[in-house]
Amino acid sequence: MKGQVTIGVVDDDDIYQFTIKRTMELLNLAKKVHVFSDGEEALDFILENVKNVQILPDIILLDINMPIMDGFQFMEEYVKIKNKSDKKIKIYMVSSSVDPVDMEKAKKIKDICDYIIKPIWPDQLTEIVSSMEKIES
Amino acid sequence: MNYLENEIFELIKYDSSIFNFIQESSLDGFWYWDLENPEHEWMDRKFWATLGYDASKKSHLASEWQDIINQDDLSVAYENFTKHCENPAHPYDQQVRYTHKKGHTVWIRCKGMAIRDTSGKPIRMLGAHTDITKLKEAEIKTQKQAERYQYIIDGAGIGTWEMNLQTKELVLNESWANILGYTLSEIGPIDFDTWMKYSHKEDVEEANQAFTDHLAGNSAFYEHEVRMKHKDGNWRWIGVRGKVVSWIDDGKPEWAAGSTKDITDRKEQEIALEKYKDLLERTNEAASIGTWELNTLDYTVEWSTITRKIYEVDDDYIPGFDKTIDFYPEGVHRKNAETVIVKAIKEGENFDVEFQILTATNKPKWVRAIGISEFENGKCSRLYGLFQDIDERKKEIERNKFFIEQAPTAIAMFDTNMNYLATSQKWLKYYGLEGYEIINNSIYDVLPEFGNNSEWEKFHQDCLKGVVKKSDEECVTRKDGSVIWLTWEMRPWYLNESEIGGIIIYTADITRLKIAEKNNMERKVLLETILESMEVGILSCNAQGELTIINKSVRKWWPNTTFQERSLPKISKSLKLYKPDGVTPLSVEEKPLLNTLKGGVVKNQEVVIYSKDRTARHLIVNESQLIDENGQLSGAVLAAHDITDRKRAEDKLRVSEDTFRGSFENAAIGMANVGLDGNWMKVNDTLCHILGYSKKELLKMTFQNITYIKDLEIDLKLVGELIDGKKDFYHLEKRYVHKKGKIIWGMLSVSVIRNSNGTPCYFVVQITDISTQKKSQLNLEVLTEKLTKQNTQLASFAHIASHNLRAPVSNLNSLLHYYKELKNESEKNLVFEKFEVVINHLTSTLNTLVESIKIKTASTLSEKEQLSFDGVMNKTLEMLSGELIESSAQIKCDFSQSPRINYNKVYLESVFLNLVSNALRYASPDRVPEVTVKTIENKGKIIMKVKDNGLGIDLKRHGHKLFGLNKTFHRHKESKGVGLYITKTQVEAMGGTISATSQVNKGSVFTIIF
Repeated sequence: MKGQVTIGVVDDDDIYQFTIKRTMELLNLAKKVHVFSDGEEALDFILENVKNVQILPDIILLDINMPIMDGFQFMEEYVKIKNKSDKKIKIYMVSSSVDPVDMEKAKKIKDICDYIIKPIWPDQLTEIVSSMEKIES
Repeated sequence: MNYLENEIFELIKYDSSIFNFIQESSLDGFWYWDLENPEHEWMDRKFWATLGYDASKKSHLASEWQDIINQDDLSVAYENFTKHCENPAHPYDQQVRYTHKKGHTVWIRCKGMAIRDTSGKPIRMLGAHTDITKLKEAEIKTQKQAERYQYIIDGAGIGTWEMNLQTKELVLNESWANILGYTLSEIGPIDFDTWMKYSHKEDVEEANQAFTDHLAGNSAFYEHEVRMKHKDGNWRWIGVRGKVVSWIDDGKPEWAAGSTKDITDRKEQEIALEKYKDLLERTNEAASIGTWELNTLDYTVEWSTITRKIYEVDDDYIPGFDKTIDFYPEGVHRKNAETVIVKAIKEGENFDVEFQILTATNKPKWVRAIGISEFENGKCSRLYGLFQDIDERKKEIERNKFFIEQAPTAIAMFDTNMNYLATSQKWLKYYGLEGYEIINNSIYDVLPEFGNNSEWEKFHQDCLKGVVKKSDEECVTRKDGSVIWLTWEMRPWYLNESEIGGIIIYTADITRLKIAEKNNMERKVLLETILESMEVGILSCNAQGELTIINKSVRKWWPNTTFQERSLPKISKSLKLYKPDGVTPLSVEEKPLLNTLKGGVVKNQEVVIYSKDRTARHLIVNESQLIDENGQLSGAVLAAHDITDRKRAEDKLRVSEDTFRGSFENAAIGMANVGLDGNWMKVNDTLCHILGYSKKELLKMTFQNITYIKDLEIDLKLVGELIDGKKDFYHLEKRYVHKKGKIIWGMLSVSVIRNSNGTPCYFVVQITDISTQKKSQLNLEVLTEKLTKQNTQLASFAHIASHNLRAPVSNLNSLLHYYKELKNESEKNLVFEKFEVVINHLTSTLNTLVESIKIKTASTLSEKEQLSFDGVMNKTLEMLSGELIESSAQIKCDFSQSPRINYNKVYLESVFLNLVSNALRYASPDRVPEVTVKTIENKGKIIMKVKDNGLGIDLKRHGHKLFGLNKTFHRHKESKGVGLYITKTQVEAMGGTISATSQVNKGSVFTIIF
């Protein structure tokens, strides 16, 4: 049952966007991959489609360091609006930062499932997606 | 079909809100009005049917309904319409009257809503009608019913009132005022005080009580009868009824309402009845007596037979009002008689008095007269009463009075009301009443201290019942405040065998006796107290050598002796006493008092006693003989002072003074005595050494002279606190100036020495030289600061490494992994291009880092030179000439206040370039960019401000990242987040700071303090 989930990638790094998109295509992990260059773009997309459960991503891979609105600022806004939608989005923080300050901060946010240090490997992606599908089935 | 009809049915089909509006609001028709062509208005069948017309015969013009609507209501509706069009929140909703085809009025509730075009302009108006005629008629009916009740109340002459108990607001009707002879408008503005103004003062309290009872729920109605002043000046009796009718939320009563009614007639009848009853009672009391009557209308007088006998006139004598006066002897009796009669006629006050008359045969005679006044319409119409001869009884009393007045002791006679009938001269003197008019006055008025429910009053009452009371001594406070002691007796006197006519009180002054006794007593207690509380031991004996006084101190010195044995020769064995050497016991002859009794002299003799724990006590003993008033020996007294503590303190002081002197001179720390004004009184060698002055020099100076000026204020403040007694000592780290001018850090301890009165005398001062410690402490602080700064920089480096270096490296890893999976050559080429991008990115990040490390190393700092801001600015503008032309930006510079700076040239150019190019890069597309660069000088520092009118940055969100590496805040291709990072590094490396303020879409200001 692969390729049934929608994934949102929030990251300003072109190369990361490229590799993750290609990896998912290669492994046929996602039905659809939405790419946002910063938190604000992702937030706007969620707000526009707040009632449109089909379009909203099941999983979001969220970077910390981004211009305009970074990962933590995105989480602050997301917590305020998440109840407007019936969709429960699983959010993973994906960052190259090994700074303990960042990790602690992410841990304290309830809506973040896990903190993944870049690079994110294909088998990690597979695991994230399959855990999602287990819940759905 | 009318075009509006089509349109509205289309609307209903597609717009559910319009459908709902009609569903909910329109029971009796609706209308749809074209506001662009206001003469056209479509009205549905029900609309016209409600008004009695056939819709098919109507041509759907606005004028059709405007003709049959009430014109006043039309203007209201039009006003609402105008407001609703301007503001949708204002409801179009009103009740209007239409004339039915048959001529009667139809009440309609008319609601409407404007339908607006996309710009919000109203283009159509949709309205709905509900027939509310029945509702309206019912409402009018209720209103009429209420009015009818009001007419009934007004017609019956019943006053009504409504009062808000919270605000005291009062509403009264016309009849309320009419009852008192006024119109409502005459009364003027109405509030609670209006009511009070007309009320009789004596009735207010009772009325308030009744109302309070009602409020407390004790009565279903408030019901009370009070007097109120009529316009004609008379009092009217008014019956007031009422009830609380509403309550506010917390249960407090709000409105009360009720009625008032004139009940004077009823009330007057009741009062008349009371008076008759009164007369009857008194008649019973005084049997077989005369009557009299005075008609106050024509002032005719009638006397009964017995009355005539008392006056000693014939049966054919015609009494008259004016003639009657002649029967009363001039003076107190005539005055009394006149007073009671005038009072009875004017105020309706009945009387029962005794006075003397002169009969027709000129014979003085005591009579009792009772008078009842009868009132009609507020005026006395008749005065009548009884008349009795009481002369025999009175004469007997007069005899008694005479006897009493002549009595040589203090004696007074009272009637049953405790009015003075007679007193002796002594009585007047005792009570300080000489010259006062007391006869016929109550004892309680003359000497109020006997009244007020005092014990005396009770004694009087008992005595009037026949009990004899007496006391051997009694304290009384007199009219002038002085106290007297009395012995007294009171007994009743009798009119006849059974009837008590009053009491007689006899008193004798025993004050002088009492005072002497009391003074002796007080003196004894005082002396005993003094003896007991003295630290001096007192022992006294009588001539026989028996102890009479043994005070507390003596008992304390010999705790094992009970002193039950009073004979001195016997007890002296157990009183162990030694000579000053503490070893040799005193012989029996030498022992206290015995020697003195025999004529020996004991003066300042030192003896030693031992307390329980075997410690010695030194006593100084003095003795003397006691001689009585006859010159005979009556005993001896001993006084012993304990000097043990004084002796010990003297020893201790001697030891501690020696110790102090030794340690002062040889102390390793600086020590001194300093006078209250700061002069050095005594200093030791160490202190001289610390400060570099000789002893001689220092003793001519004050501590103020050599205190480092910045530390003087705090020191003087602390000294002040010592002098004021707020503190006894203080410690302070302070600086002194050494003779050679260098700063000495001293640890100062100061305590104040006071004399026995607590007055400060001088300070004892200790000073330790802590300059060395202080220096190393300061060094340590500088070092710590430096380390902290470097630590911060290291932390920020770790952050950069974590964020900015790991990102490209992890990208390389991912790409490599992906690259290996690929088989297709063209795809592999594509990925390889990505490698190049990442590697370039990595290289540039590393370069930036290397550059910033270079900036931080101190070597470049030496390369400072004099630079002009103008020169640097011109170079910057040259480099940015392309961008300047493209954006046509306006650059304003003002370096006039601070034109030059000594700075690293490369850095300053870099700072200018970064700040100006940023201002251009993030310019607002809506405005011509304006950049202002200005330098000023403040507190010796050069400050530069670079201000733009660009996009601005949300500093609440991004402020903490503003100067971070690779932090960007705008979706801008050229944004790399390097410029501000480098600028900050450069400014800080040169020892300056940079900060920013910004408003989104207004612009930013960067401030550098060089």
